[in-house]
Order: sequence, then structure tokens, then C-alpha cells
Amino acid sequence: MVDFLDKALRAVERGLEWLIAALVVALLVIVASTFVDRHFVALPMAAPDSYARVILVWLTFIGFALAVKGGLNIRVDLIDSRLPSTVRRVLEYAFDLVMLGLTVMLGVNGWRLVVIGRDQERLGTMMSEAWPSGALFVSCIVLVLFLVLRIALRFSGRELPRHVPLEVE
Amino acid sequence: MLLLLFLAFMLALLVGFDVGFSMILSAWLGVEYRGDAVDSAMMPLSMIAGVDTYALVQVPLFILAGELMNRGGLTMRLIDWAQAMVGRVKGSLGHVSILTNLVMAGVSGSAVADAVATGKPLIPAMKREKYGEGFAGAVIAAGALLGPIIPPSIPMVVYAQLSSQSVVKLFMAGIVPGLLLAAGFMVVCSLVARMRDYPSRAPVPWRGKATATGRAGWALLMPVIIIGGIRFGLVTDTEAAAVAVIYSLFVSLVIYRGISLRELPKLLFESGRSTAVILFLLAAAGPFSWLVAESQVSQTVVDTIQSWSTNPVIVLLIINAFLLLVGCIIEPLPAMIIFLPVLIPLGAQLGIDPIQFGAVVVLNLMIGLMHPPIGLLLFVVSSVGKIRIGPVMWEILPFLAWAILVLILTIVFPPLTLWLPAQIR
Repeated sequence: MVDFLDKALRAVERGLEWLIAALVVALLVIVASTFVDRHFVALPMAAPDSYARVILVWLTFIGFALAVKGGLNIRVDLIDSRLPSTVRRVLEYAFDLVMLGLTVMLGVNGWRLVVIGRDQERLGTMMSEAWPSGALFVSCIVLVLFLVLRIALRFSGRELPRHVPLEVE
Repeated sequence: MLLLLFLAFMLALLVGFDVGFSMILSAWLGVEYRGDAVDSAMMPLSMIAGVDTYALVQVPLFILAGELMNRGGLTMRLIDWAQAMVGRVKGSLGHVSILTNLVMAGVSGSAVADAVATGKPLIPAMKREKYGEGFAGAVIAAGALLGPIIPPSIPMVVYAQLSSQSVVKLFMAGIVPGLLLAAGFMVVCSLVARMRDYPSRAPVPWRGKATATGRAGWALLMPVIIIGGIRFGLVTDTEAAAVAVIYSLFVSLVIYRGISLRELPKLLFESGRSTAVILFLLAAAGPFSWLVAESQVSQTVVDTIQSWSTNPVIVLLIINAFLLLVGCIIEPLPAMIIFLPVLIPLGAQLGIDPIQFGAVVVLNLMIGLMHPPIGLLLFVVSSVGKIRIGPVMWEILPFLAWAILVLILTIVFPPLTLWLPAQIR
């Protein structure tokens, strides 16, 4: 079961890595288009900044879920690194469980915002306000899956396998 | 009770819980404590609002531009150019490091990326030429400090977001302190090189200098385009980030051919993920700011400091002494996001210009990157150059002393940070 979850999540992770890369490209194109629009040719997009903001929200929350999986989120390890390994291990369990609980809480409330936002138009765009809330909700689902996998692997005495992002074959 | 939650947050932070989630945890406990008075949907709502801002779009773009510059061969050409320019000076590789970082700072807003890019080639070169390993690491760390001070600067963008100030004015406020830092660091390099008789290189004739300048021309033009473009209103600060990416992409792919198209997806992803790590802190700062306001920590701090003095200069000195201590245990960006909601109202109440306040706070917290025991840059150069951390911590002290002196100068003489921003209409 754990191995199946691991394999499935690796496929999800690879897909999300491509999504992040695409979001960065989309931001670049939108910002460059504002420059072109101001100096050269009038472009048809009414509120490019609104689209860019939604993309940034997606980039932030999905990217953070991947950063947690890769252990790249920011922590202060001043005391942590000096603790005995058994205490550290207990703390790691506790941290993952607390993070899991908070993620579920954010996800549930994020879904409430998605439901409310579905009927609210995002000014100047063809999107609703559910789009930015959707980013938080989706990232919470991804993060919950990653955390469950990490807890399960730790419980069975294994670590999350190292994954090289978008490596050129 | 809410003050206790604030203290609980500090505890969670110090035992090593994720910084963003420490903020979310304490804010959530605060919401639960208030019961029905606050809807818990406020948590995700304020998190989304924290990053739903157009000015922040420049963060991933400047990170990407820096990565492209480093991997696309622009940095190496800058190092060659700096060696041609200052190679004949005693201890020239130290000067090369500072000069290269000074130019790179005009494109990249990240000190860590700059330290890696210049440390990889220059630390081994300095070791080969019998510079002490501690000095080699220290000079790279000091040079990299210029990255987030001289525009563009990611911490300045974050400060602008937290304080609702103009990013462009904050960028301009960093130029004079950045140049002062660079000049002082070069003086430190000269003094150490003379004392220890570090080698110099054979002088490069004018023809050689011209060739090196020509080879590095594309890289040298980048900061001119970015800073000049912003200063003269050709591009907005966010557009400047896109211009930096497109320019560095063109130069890296077509002119210098330092990277291939196949490497781009990974670069794009890594820049996006680095951005997410930074911006998630800003998202988490949304609910945390609510807790700070509810617990009235700001007011308590304001009242306490005002009971000591109401002189803006004295208060700024007190704040900076506090932030330097904070920098001993917490990295700059988290420290900025945690403490600025408390400190910005204090600055406003005392009539301190918010641009000066921002420049001073950013400079202070960036100094934290190079001061022991947890200065991130010290660990980065130690890892990149495969050198012991102890000697680096010792050799960084003269650079650190100069950086603190520049900090004091920017506090005492506001025109150092306010004159250039005032030139922008």
C-alpha cells in the first residue's frame, strides 16, 4: 500500500513540477505582454495583472507542497540540530502530525472559500474568485498525501526516497 | 492569553517546526481561543490575500534571471573581466569577488545564489594562490551580501509588500549603502592582503582589458538595462524582472551558449519552487498579522521602546540592536515577516521615513546572513568551497564590522537612503 502510494505520488509530483515550470513561463509572458502593450501594440487582454496574481497564488501553494516534500521549507534548526537523535525523531513525527492537522483545517476552510468564490467574478477576467482559493485547496490535498506517505514510511522505518526534479535524461 | 500564543509561536519556531506553519499554528490557536467571534475561514482568506499581489510577480522572475545568469556563463565572464581590471592589485582575487558581486547584484536579488556562483570558481582559485581558506570564504560571503542590498532585491520587494511602500523607491534606497559596503569591503581586502602579503597577478595591458570587457559586455549591460530602465521609467519594477529574464535567456542560449533548451524546464521549476518557499512565508504572515494585532504585541513593544526614548535615531538604533540579535537565531526573510508587523507601526509613530526604515531593516537583516553563529552565507561558502566553518567565522569579522558601521551611518544620516528615491517622481 505504502509502495503504491509512493509510486502514485511520484507521478503526481512529476506532473506538478511541469505545472510549476509552466506557471513561471506564463508569468513571464504576461508581464512581458504588459510592456509590449504599453510601448508597442495594444493587446486584447483587459486585466493581465489579475491573471498574473492568480498564477502567482497557484505557484506559491503548489510549489510549497513540493518544497515540503523535498525538505526545502524554511525551519530554524538552531536547537533541533543539537538534540539527541531519538528526541529529533519524536519531534519529526510530531511536526508532521501537527502540519497534517493544520493542512486539513486549511483545506476544509479553503474549500468553503472555493464554494463561496464560485459565484464571485474576478474583476477584468473571465475567472471567478474560486480560482485562487482552488490553489490553496489543491495544494492542501497534495500536502496531505505527501505527509501521510512520509508518516507511513517513517513508521515502517524508511525515509522518503530522493527524487531529482525534471532531470535531463 | 494571546500574548502566550505569541510566545508559543516562538517556541515552535525555535524547536525547528516549519516557520510558515508555526505562524499558522499560533494564529489558528488564537482563532479558536476567540471562539465564534472570528470565522476560521479568515485563515485561508488572509493567506491567499498575502500573495495575491502583482508586485510579488517579480520575485520568481528575478530568481530565474539570477539562475540563468549563473548557469548561462554570464557570471564566469564577469569574473574574467574583474580579474583583468583589478588583477594587478595585491590580493586581487578578493577584489575580483567583490567587483563581480557588485555587478551581479544589479541583476540577482539573492545573496545565496551569488555566493554559490562566485564561490565555486573563486574559492578553489584563492586556495591555490595560498590565501587562507577562512579569508577565501569570508570575502565571498561579504561580496554576496551586496546581492539583496543593491537593486533588484527580493527582501525589498517583501518589505514593500508588508509596508505598502513603493518597490522602486526602496530599490533606489539600497544603492548608496550597497556601494558603501562594496567600497569598504575592498579596503578590508587591501589591508588583509598587505598584512599577509597575498599575491597579485601580472598587469593586463589595455588591449587585454578591452578584450575582457568586450567578452563580458552582454553581462555588464544587464544591470545598466535593469536599473537604468527602472530609474528612467522605461519599465516598471515588475517589467524590469521580465526584461532581465528575457535578456539573460537570450544571452545564455544564443550568445554565450552556456545552457541548452533541455535544461530550461528544470531551471524554471527550481526558480518556481524557490519562489514558493519565500512567498509561503508571506501567505502565512496574513493570519499571523491578525494574531499580532489581536494580541497587541505591537502596542506593547511601541509603548516599551517609547518609554526609553522618543528620539527617532535612538529608537532606530535600539530596533537595529534587537534585529542584529534576532539575526543570530532566525534567517532574514522569516525574521522580516515575523517582526515587521510589530516594528512598522513603531517607525510610523515616531515619524521615521518608511523608505529609510525599510532600507535600514533590510540592510540589518541581510547582515544577519553573514554573522555567526547561523549566518547562512557562512555555511553556503563553507559547503561550496569545502572549507571549515571556524576560520570563515573568524575572518568575516572585519567585513562584519564595516557592514555594521554602514548600518549605523544609514541610521544617523537619512540622506544616504533617501536622496536617490527623492529623485524619482
